[in-house]
Amino acid sequence: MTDFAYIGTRPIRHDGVDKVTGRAAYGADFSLPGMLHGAILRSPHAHARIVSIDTSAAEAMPGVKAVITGKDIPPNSAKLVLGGEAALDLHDMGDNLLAHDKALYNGHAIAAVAATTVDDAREAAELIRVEYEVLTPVTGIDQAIAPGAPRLHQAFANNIAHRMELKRGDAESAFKDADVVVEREFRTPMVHQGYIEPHACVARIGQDGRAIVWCSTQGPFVVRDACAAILGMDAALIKVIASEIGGGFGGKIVVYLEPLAILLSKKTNRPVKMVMSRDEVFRATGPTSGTKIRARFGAKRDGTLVAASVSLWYEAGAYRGSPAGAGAMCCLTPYRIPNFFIEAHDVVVNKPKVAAYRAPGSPMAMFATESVVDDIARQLDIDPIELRLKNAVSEGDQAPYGPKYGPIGLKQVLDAAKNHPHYQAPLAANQGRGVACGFWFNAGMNSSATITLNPDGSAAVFTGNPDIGGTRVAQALMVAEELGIPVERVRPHVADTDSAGHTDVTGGSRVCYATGNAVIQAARDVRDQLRARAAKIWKTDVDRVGWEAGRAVSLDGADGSAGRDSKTLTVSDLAAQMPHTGGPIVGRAAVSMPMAGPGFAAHICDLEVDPETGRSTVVRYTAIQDVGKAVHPSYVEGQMQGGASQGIGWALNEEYVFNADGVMENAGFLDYRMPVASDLPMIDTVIVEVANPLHPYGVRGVGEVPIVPPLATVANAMRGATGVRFTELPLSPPRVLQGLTEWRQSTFQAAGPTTQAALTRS
Amino acid sequence: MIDASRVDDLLKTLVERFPGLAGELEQVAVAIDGQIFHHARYQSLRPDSDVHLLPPVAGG
Repeated sequence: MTDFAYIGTRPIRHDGVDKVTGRAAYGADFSLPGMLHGAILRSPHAHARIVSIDTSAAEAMPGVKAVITGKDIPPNSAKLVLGGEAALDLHDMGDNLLAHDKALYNGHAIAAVAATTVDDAREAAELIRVEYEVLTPVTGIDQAIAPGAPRLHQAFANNIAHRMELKRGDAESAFKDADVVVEREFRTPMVHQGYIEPHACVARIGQDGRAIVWCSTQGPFVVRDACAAILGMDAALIKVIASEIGGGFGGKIVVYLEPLAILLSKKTNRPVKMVMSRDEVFRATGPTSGTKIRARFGAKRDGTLVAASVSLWYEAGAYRGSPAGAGAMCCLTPYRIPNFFIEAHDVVVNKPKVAAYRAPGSPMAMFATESVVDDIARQLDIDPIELRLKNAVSEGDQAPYGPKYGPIGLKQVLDAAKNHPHYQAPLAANQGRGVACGFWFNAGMNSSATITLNPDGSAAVFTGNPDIGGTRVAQALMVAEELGIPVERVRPHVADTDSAGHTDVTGGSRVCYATGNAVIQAARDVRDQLRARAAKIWKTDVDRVGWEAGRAVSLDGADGSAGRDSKTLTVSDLAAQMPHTGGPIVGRAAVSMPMAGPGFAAHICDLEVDPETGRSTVVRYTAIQDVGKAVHPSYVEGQMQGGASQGIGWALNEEYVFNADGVMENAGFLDYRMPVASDLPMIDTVIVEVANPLHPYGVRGVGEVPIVPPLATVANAMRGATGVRFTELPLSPPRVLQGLTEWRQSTFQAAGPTTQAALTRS
Repeated sequence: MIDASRVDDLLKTLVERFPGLAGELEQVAVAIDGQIFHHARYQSLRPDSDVHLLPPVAGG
C-alpha cells in the first residue's frame, strides 16, 4: 500500500487544544470527595539495616488515618524477566515499594502515611522513628566489583547480578591483523528521564474489595497487573484509569505509589491521593544506569573494520536488572564486523533501581563505540560518514545479537546525512562537527483495538495506550485511511483497563506499529461488516461488494469489475441504515506482534566551545532517521527532536551527583541541569522511509532511536572543536575546561623550547 | 542437532540437555528467520529456520 489519502498528512491532534489550554487532566489533577493524602518517609541513608520502626507517634497524631510499612507488603517470591532493559522481579518490586530489612538507597521508601491533609501526612511521616544500622554504601561500579566490596544482597556472591557475552569469529587474532587499533574507556553518569509531570495517583477500594486507580502511567494494564501480583489481588478487582501523561520515556512503567495508595485506602476505607515531589522523583524513581564501558576497534588502512571488543558495566541500582544486555546487543549494530567479543555486567549499587529510559542501554554503549569509530576515521584520515558507509550493514547482514537484518535503512540514512547541506556547511572558529549513528530494535508485543461506528458515519477508536507522542491522532489517521472518513470524524480514546482489550505499554516505540496494526485490523473488520450490510441492502452476496475510497461499491456490473455498476454506498449511508441491517457495527482486533524491525539514525552536530570557560553551545543540529513510514510526520519529527534534545542534555550537562555517603546532592531542576528551549537551536529533521514489511503501511517505530546518537555526536563535535577526546560525560564546562587545561599542559610539555616560547608569547 | 517443529520443542530439548539453562530460557525472546518474538512458545519452525535466543528487550 503506497497511495495514502490520510497517512502522511498533518492534522491537528485531537488532544491538542486541551493540552495547550490547560484543560487536560494529569495525574495530580484528580480528586475525590472524602479523599485522604498520602506521604512517604524515605531513608536518609544509602545503605542501612532497618533495626526497628516505631509508628506510634505518627498514628497518634490528629488527622492521621493509617500508617503502613514493609510488613504490609505481602512477601513475594523472586521472579525475574532476564536480561534486556526492564527486568521485573516481584520480590524486588515489593521491597522497592517499602523496604523490608534494609534501606538500599537514599530515598528508599520506609513507611507511608494517610492523613486528612498533605501537610499532616508529611508531618506524621517525620514522626515515625526508624532505628538504622548504617552500612557502608556501594556508590559506584569500581567499588561494587572490587574484591571484598560490601554486598547489597546476601543472596548473591557479589554485586555482579548478571553477565552475558556475545561473540563472533576470533577478535584477538583479528586485532593483530589490523592496521590501526583504538581502545578507550568511557564513563557515563546516572541520568533521569526528567519528565515534567511527577508520579501521581488516587486509589479507592470499596468494602467489596474492588479498587479503582487513577494514575499517570505508560501502561495501565502493567499497573493493574503489578498491583494485583504484589498485593495478592485478582486482576478483576482492580480497574486502572490512566490520566493524561506529562512525559514518561520509560520511567512510568514501574509502580511506586499505586500499591501503597490501595493499601492505605483499604486501611481507611477512603480514597487516597499520593503525589511525588520533584525531590522524590529524582531520589526514588528509576533513572537509567551510570556506566563504565571499554571499547576497542581494529581497522584496515582502507577503513574496513575487522575486529571489536566491548566490555560494559551498567549500574542496576539497588536491585538487579540494568539495560546492560540491551547495550551489549546494540553497540555494534551498524557495522559488519567479522570478529567481535562483547561482555556485559549488571552491577547492583546503592542507588535508585534503574528503570527504562528511551532505547534503554543503547545511548551509553553507542557513545563508547561511536566515539572510537570516530577516532578510527581520524587516524585513517577518512571522512567519518564514508567510513561508516564502508562498513554499514544492510538487508541480509547478521546483527551482532544473532538474526539477519530484514529491510533496514542505515545506508539511506548515512547517504542523506552526507548529502545534507549541514554536512557541507563551513565551520567558524572554535567550532567542531560530529556525526554518530544510533540503533534501536523497536518493540512489538500485544495490543487490542475496538472501533465503534456512530449512526452519522463518524467513529470512535478505543485502545489501552496512554497518548505520549501523538498516538491518538495516529490511530485516528489509520481509521480514516481504512474507512475513508475524515480524520476529524474519528474520535480516539485512551480506554481504561475495564474497557479496552489487553494492551502492553506505551513504550518501546511500539504503539504506532503494534497498536496501530490492531487499529488497522479493527478498521478492516468494520469495513468487512459494512460490505456485508451493503450486500444486504443490494440483495447480493458480500463477495459481490468491494470497497474503494471509503465506499461500498457493487461488483455486479456487466463485466463484474469494481465501479462498473453505478451503485455505491458511503460509510454515512451504511451507518444510517445500521438498525435496519443488523444493528450496531463494532470492529475489533487483537494482535501479538514480533519486534518491528530495527531503526537506524545518524545525527550531525556543530558545537562551539569557549576555550576560556569550557562552555559549549550547540549551534546546529540535524537528525536523520529511518522510520519506515511516518503516519503523522509532525509527531515523527517531534519524537526525533525530543530524543535529540534529551541526548544532548545527557551529553552536555545532566548527571546525578552523589556525595561519599551515596546521598544525591542535586535532586531538583535547578541543580540537575536539563536543556531548555533557549539552550538549543531548532533541530532539523530528515525522515527516511524504508518500509517495514511487518506493518501494513510500513511503520517501523520512532521514539527510541533519536536519543541514541547525540551522546557520541556531541562528543565527536567536541573532539573536532577542541582536539581533545573526552571519554566521560557530561561535557559540562568544568570538565571541558579541565580537559583543555590538561591538554594544553601536555602539549606545552611535549613541545620543544622554541615552540614553548612561542606558545608562552601567544 | 535438535529435531523441533515448534519453539517449545526446541526449548524443552535444550533444557533437557542443559538443565542449568532452565531459568534463562523461561523468559527468552526468540528470533525466527529474522523476526524477534517475545512470546514465541508456539511459533512453528521450518527445517531450515534460522533461530536465535536472546534476552527480551522492549524499550522506554
